[in-house]
Amino acid sequence: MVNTPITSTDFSFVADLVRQRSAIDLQPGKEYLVESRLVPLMRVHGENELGGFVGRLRRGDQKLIDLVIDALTTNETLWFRDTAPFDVFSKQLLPDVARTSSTKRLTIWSAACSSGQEGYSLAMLLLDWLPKNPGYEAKVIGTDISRRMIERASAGKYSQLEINRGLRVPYLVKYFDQVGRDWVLKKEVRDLASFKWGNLAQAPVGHPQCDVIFLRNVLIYFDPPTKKKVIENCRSVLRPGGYLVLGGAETAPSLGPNWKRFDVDRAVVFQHLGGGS
Amino acid sequence: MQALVVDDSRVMRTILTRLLTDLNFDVVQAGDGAEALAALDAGARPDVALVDWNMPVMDGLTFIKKCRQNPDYRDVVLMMVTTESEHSNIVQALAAGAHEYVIKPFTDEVIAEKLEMLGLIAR
Amino acid sequence: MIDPAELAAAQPDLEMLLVEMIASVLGEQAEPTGERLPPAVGLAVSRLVIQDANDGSFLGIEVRAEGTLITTLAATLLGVAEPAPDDMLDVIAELGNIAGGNVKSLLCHNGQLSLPSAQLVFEQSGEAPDAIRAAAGLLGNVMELVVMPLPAADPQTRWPSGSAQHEAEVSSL
Repeated sequence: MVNTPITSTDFSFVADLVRQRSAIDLQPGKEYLVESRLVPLMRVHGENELGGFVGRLRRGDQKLIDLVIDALTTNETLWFRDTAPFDVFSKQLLPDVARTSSTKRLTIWSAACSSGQEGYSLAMLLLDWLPKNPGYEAKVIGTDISRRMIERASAGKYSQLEINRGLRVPYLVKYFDQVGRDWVLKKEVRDLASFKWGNLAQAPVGHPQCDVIFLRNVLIYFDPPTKKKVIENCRSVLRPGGYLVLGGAETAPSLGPNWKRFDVDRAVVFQHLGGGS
Repeated sequence: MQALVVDDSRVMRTILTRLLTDLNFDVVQAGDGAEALAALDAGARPDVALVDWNMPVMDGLTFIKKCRQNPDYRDVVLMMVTTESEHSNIVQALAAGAHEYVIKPFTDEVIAEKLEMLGLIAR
Repeated sequence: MIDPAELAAAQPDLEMLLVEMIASVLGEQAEPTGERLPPAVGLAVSRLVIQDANDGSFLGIEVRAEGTLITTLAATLLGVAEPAPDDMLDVIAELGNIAGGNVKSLLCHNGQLSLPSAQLVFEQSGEAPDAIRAAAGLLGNVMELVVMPLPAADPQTRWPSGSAQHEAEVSSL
């Protein structure tokens, strides 16, 4: 329950701020999202109502602005979020891209990786798969708009509350070490995954060609022209025959003639057929 | 769907029962492992049992071992829900036959997510 | 025997643990605080012991809160309009149990955690000088988590079934 609703002028100020910094489009109707993410920050920073808190943002409190951008651009992250896309990845996408790979070196991109749970979930599945498929190499690359999230993901360290969220417990005991109450991914998992800053709305620079891209629950934040740009940016680094996995909750946009859509269970998957956008 | 909640804390039984009832489970409660076994012996066939570790009379780990020894109870999905939060504890529970493990404190969505992962609920 | 310096260094972790526990179990936003519980007020206290597996030493854990706060929480958690003393004891006992297991992963790996023993008391017993205290404020009240080395476990301590301590008790009867 939010007992301090955000005014429409404050909402558009915050939306503009986020748009400038991340290309994420917070349309009217997303007030609930802004309130639910800002109220905890507001309390921690000693304000009792959002008006006062947004006032500090207007006065250019840079530290607070960074925290707000982080709070509004960060998805709730779970291990193996939604289950189905990960099952499809292991059972269908991975064997298929391995079969058609000319290099036997597979690259998986976790786009908008947040604190790293999706990227590491994929890395754990790769670790299950690699010993059964000798001759292959694989890696996961995660990118995010928030530098703080990239730091967190690179550290590979999670609280007890975080590891409770969706992580199958056999994976917890197999791939994590306990340090006090925290859990740290073993070196073999961290070696498979790397994380770097990246803005999905900008053309990727120095990004390797990918076999599979996970781009889930991010498109909803973008306006239609940016959405198009993001998908084109993904296409430019996805090899023909590779797969783009979208979030099940988002209405899948029409991607154009170079994509073939197929849904498995509750996973929304597009295969890149080759050619331009 | 039916669930068995095994915990010596009435507060924890109440919290879990409320949560599971909201997820459309019929809930049977037991205050320790022995009571839980008695419920199974009397014919209860829950789809899932949520089991605390430290309890008087019979602890949760012993309950899980006994449950796994009886082929009649093999379809019961066993989920440990406990404040025992060490790596070695989790390994022990899995070896005894637990399918999942939730460390207290947990939030409602943690339990729901685990039940979904186990294929017991669809959300 | 836990090193006093290690215990002292864990204070911020204990604060975080307390805040997390309050948020998860009670659904209340809490903040670490330097405030203490008022001196003469009805308190609910939960006590547990961890025995170190290596050297047999004991670590005591207490979770304390004002009776009025626990009454409010018991009403919500148990869904009763007017919580009875038993309801309050159950609430503070489980909070102690949750804190205890987490303190064990933090400070005393592979130790044995006792069952909680809960009491309603009207004044605070003195605190050992080497006790480490964390406190969190919620709903205008204070909840404390105190961890201290103990020379021995209280003979009334109840150990869970299956533990070596419980087996020893049973065989000595």
